[in-house]
Amino acid sequence: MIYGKSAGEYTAGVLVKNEETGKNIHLLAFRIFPSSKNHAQRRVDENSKISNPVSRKHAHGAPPLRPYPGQFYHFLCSENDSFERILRRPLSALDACGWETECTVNAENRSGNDFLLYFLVEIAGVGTQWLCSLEEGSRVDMLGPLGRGYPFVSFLKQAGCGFHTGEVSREPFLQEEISRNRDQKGGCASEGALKNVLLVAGGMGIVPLYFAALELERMGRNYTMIAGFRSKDKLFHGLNSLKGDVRIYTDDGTSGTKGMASDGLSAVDLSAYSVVFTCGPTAMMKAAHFMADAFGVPCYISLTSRMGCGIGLCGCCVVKGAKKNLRVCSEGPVFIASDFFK
Amino acid sequence: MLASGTAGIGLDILPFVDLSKLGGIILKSVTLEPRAGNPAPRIWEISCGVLNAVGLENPGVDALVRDVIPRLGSCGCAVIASIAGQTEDEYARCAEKLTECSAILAAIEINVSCPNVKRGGIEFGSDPDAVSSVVRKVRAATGLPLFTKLSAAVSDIVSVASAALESGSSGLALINTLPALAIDRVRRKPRLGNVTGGLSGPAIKPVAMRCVWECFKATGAPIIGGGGVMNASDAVEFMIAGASAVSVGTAIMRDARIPLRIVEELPRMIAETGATSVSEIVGTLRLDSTDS
Ligand SMILES: Cc1cc2nc3c(=O)[nH]c(=O)nc-3n(C[C@H](O)[C@H](O)[C@H](O)COP(=O)(O)OP(=O)(O)OC[C@H]3O[C@@H](n4cnc5c(N)ncnc54)[C@H](O)[C@@H]3O)c2cc1C
Ligand SMILES: Cc1cc2nc3c(=O)[nH]c(=O)nc-3n(C[C@H](O)[C@H](O)[C@H](O)COP(=O)(O)O)c2cc1C
Ligand code: FES
Repeated sequence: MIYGKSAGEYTAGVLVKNEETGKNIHLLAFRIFPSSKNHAQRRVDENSKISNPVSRKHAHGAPPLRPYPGQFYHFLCSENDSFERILRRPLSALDACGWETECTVNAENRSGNDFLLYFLVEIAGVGTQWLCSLEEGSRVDMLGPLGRGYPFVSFLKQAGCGFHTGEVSREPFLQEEISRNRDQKGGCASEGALKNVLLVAGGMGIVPLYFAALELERMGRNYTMIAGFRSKDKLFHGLNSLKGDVRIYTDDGTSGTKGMASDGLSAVDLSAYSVVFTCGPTAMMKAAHFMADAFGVPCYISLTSRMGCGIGLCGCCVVKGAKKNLRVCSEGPVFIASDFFK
Repeated sequence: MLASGTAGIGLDILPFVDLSKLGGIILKSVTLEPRAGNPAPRIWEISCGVLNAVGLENPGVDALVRDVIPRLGSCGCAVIASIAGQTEDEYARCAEKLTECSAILAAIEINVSCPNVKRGGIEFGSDPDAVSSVVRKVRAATGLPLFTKLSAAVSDIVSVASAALESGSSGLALINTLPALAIDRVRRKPRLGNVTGGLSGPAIKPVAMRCVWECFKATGAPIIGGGGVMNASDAVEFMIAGASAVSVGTAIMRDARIPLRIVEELPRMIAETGATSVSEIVGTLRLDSTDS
């Protein structure tokens, strides 16, 4: 089933910014170029039933696919013809600009019709080390955007997502939005179901949720962000410029409130929210799920796993879900919490 | 050709690879009943290679016959299904069901070499008699050409290969991943959920090359050679060793554009050997003492 998934494309990104924003954490910005889709993709777009309306529109030298919060890019972390670090590394998009969106992370690098992608990378091993030590101007091979992000209608639409076949019923709480959106033919309808969103992030889980917060701001929606970090030096400074209600927790109390994101969770009134998006340690996501569930609020989680292909071919990223196996790279990384937690 | 297991079991590959430009796609191995596969983590990277222990997760042969193969009819390359099982009968019944799709399928690959399942797989593959009886049963169940996929982790691959060929296999597929183990020193734990896994990628290329060469020398049978093929030079080396077709597995995980790149560069790589076509170089490893 091709659900909630946009087949990504291979892109060469030029690194335009590499800034160490925290201890072993780098903010990377890449300039990417109008789509040079490979032949196969163009062919599929043009003549097959498998294609989706958006990618067909973009078939010829059109804008690259726009990432949505929760989607990731699969990065080559060695030279193209190297046999070291054979596997790509998945990294979530932090922000995207150049599409209909303005740059929020830092606009100064942008000129003309550039498309910029932002990532926040914690050095966790040889691949991320390689990536974070690249000089500005380096070209990096990236594949994306991949996977299924958080349920923004505009994302579901780009990904095809059964918009015309009714498969979107997996997103029951969005039904009304979706039908309105479908009627409007191309117009970006308001997403009323996301009227007040609770974002719960732990550690690097901040990445997709920061992006989600920006997206909600662009849509004029309310949100509360609960963000937990180990300590001040792991904090992402971009949080300062968010306009919503942002509550920071650190394990050691060096910034914000001392405590964990789950402490923040117990301090909110869940009934005030229409949906919860969470990303971070499993225990934290689990707590968020059960609390949300108690109030009948839908909760979305983002899973990680070791990946091979990143595009649904090899079965390496599969984790055991509540009822069936979940393919993190293509059916996720974002899932409805009850698909995973029993 | 796209090797079994890394080209998917459905249509997910279509946006990334123009199959009409390739020789063929070998689908993920299927079993009679659906299988859930092994616990995570299922993959671990090492220098020049990868260990995987997916454990033959697949939706079962019925789903393949019903939902997948019919939709690959117009993909423009040879479609090969791969089968695995725990008993000879399971292999045979899979083959029988796949025969319904003979209009689309070019062949069936018999996987008797998966290192990641408790029963079946490599257990069959290391015993010439067991391979022989699996192949014979499958041969009786289908009229499709058969390629038997062997493991290099056997003491005498030529005897297993000969057993397969004598029992009705049309050719060989060499090699499957090698059984392997990776350890997390600090935690003193295995890196994979299944403890052991199968090693693939450039690290196994020399082993695969030797197997292809030995089997070609001894049998002259058609061989789909592979193991660590990352570029067109690797592909031509396999051909020189005796492979008439070359499979690409791990490289697809790195970059799904690699198979097409290989096809495009093949003529130049072949020309550099002084030959003008694939058929001119297959199995032409020179053992004479002249340097030129
Ligand atoms: C969907 C998804 C989104 C992610 N987003 C981000 C992000 O925005 N920022 C960030 O800093 N990190 C992110 N990660 C984690 C990041 O992928 C790993 O830290 C990175 O792969 C480590 O690679 P390495 O070569 O430095 O480490 P090594 O340990 O040398 O890597 C060896 C292998 O294990 C894999 N691996 C190691 N750690 C992880 C992990 N935690 N998750 C998955 N695979 C792993 C690597 O990809 C590689 O294949 C994300 C992971 C996933 C699955
Ligand atoms: C993730 C993964 C899954 C695989 N699954 C199968 C399988 O289902 N059946 C099979 O016959 N071989 C399977 N293989 C083995 C490959 O088809 C191939 O024989 C092996 O990986 C060596 O080639 P390579 O180095 O080009 O990958 C798998 C390999 C990998 C890496
Ligand atoms: S990583 Fe290959 S299927 Fe998900």
